[in-house]
Amino acid sequence: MTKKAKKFMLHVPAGNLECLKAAADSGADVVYWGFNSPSNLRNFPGINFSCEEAFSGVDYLQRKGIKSLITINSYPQKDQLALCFEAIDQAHAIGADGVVLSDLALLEYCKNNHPQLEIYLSVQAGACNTEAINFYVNEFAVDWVILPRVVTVDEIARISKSTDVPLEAFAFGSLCINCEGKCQLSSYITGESTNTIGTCSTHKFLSFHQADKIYARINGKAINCFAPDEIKQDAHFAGGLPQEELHQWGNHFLINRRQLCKARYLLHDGKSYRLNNYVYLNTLELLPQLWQAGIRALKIEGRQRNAGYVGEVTKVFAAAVRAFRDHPDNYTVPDSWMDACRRQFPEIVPSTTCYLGK
Amino acid sequence: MSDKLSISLGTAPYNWGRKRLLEFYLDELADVSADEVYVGNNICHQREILTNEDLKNIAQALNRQGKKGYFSTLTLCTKAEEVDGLNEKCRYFDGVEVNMIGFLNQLKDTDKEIVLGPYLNLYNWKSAAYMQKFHPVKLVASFEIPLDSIADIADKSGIPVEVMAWGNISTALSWRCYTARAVNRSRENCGKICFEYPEGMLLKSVENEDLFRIDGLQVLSAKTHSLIEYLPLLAEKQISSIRIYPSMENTGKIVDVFRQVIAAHLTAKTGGEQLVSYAPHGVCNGWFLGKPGWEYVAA
Repeated sequence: MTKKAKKFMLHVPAGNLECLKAAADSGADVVYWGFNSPSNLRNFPGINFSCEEAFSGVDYLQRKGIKSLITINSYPQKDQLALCFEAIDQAHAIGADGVVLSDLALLEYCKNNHPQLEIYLSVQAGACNTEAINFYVNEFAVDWVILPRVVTVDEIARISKSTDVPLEAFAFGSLCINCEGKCQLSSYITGESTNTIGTCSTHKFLSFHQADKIYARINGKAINCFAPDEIKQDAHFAGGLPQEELHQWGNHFLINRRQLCKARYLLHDGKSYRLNNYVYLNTLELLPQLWQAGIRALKIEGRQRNAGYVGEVTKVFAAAVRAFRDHPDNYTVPDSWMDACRRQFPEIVPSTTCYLGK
Repeated sequence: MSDKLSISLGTAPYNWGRKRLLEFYLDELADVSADEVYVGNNICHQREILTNEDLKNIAQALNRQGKKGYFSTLTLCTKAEEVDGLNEKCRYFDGVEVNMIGFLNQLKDTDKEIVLGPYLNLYNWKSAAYMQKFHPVKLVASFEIPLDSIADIADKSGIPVEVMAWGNISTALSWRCYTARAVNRSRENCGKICFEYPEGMLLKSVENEDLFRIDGLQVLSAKTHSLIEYLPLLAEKQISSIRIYPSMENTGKIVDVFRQVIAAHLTAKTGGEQLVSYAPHGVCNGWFLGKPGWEYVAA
């Protein structure tokens, strides 16, 4: 794959074999996933692959001519280092096409021991300028760079002009507001780090307290509170719910807003979403600009999501990629695509702010 | 313990403004007993308010004071102009602290000492050892890794290790300017509003608990990270230096307490008691002990 490609590659996540098949059957060019260990940064209970499942997944994808990538993008400490080296060995052993890495020791290990594996520089490496990208290209001959969601389309265009390595950008899914690899908010409050354990404000730290308001806490620290009428006002679709269902819905609402960057805080002007509003990324309308800027692969976020999400989103983006390839000057986004995306995040609104301005 | 731990001053946190920075580095530091001083701005390009002439004057002042001076780089750079010009900025300093890995490309032929900064995500000894090819004189441990991981890096990488021992911890960096957002401005049109908040803006939980400070692109802990009680343990684990992040008013007094504890003129416990008044939102050290960062565990 080079920058001379004729169309976007579509990189789709899989949390299990069912998701992998949904991705493969819906138009993915590449499917990426992790082993069920702290070697990857979606180390949530109930998702990820055993070695046998991964082997079976690679086999399924190979028969369809789809690439498989194993995500080994944690920053291991001490004993976890050997576990991550072993994960790279396993990725090679099962016949995966490549690995997604960020740690220098893992990059060095892969380059020296498995040169036939393609290396995708993980977003977690935070390489968001030409000098950083060139460092990884020169030191480890990385084949692709996944850009953090901190660079605008204009900045991507400048980066792209000064490097030959193909660039991948996040196209859809949850939106981190802080630079990947540089956010320790969860670690500070819970002790579990996105960089090392691979989790962010996990459910096990979430608790609720219901008095006059519903309070949500992460490891005892209040991250939000809602009066029932406030939930009704805040939510875009809860207006019609009867009072007795509001509390139940409120709990669901708060579970999905548990990240510390999406918490409400008190500042001088009262309670508000000081770091980020709860939005999701949807770049369907931005594909022409991303292509023009030099992006050659679109990444769908969501290894923690189910096969329904994976299949639906992959179908929409595969159709969009085809439409843009075939008619780049007349590319439009039909309502049906936006509606299908909206169904994956029904409570919140789409955003492309991270690519358009600061 | 006195021959084992040197004291470094990290970069000035927040935006103090050029006048205050020059006062601090050119005048006040003469009376502060730090061994090494890091000068620069790790957070935002728009906050690079010291001219190259200012940097030259500061480097020369530090030299006269018998302190080693290092220029410390930005961390999050997305534009070429944020990356250019490093060799000019660090020309008069003894060395340069690298916080964005791409800066190493510009330092291949440098005669400056290279320090691997705390934002480089070096979480294990093999990653640190890989960096030996750049001949670093020191590595500053990532803030969130615990003592046993730090000690492993110090033991196996062959690079002297510095550990943050005092200050508000940087817990996140964003593309968004949180200070600008707080006053309904964009980052591109921030008007350098952070200058009006030289100690950041306090973020409280909805239950009124002090949690974070926002400061431009970064989120810091509201609490002050303190390892004053663990200085003997750091020395025992072959840590070479501790890092104190300066404060607007009390840097000299804080360094003095650490210096006295290192020299065993004060017990660590008494030192901790003397520092309490400089941590208005409480102290924490959880990360050092493998716990949530906001916790404090007495030695």
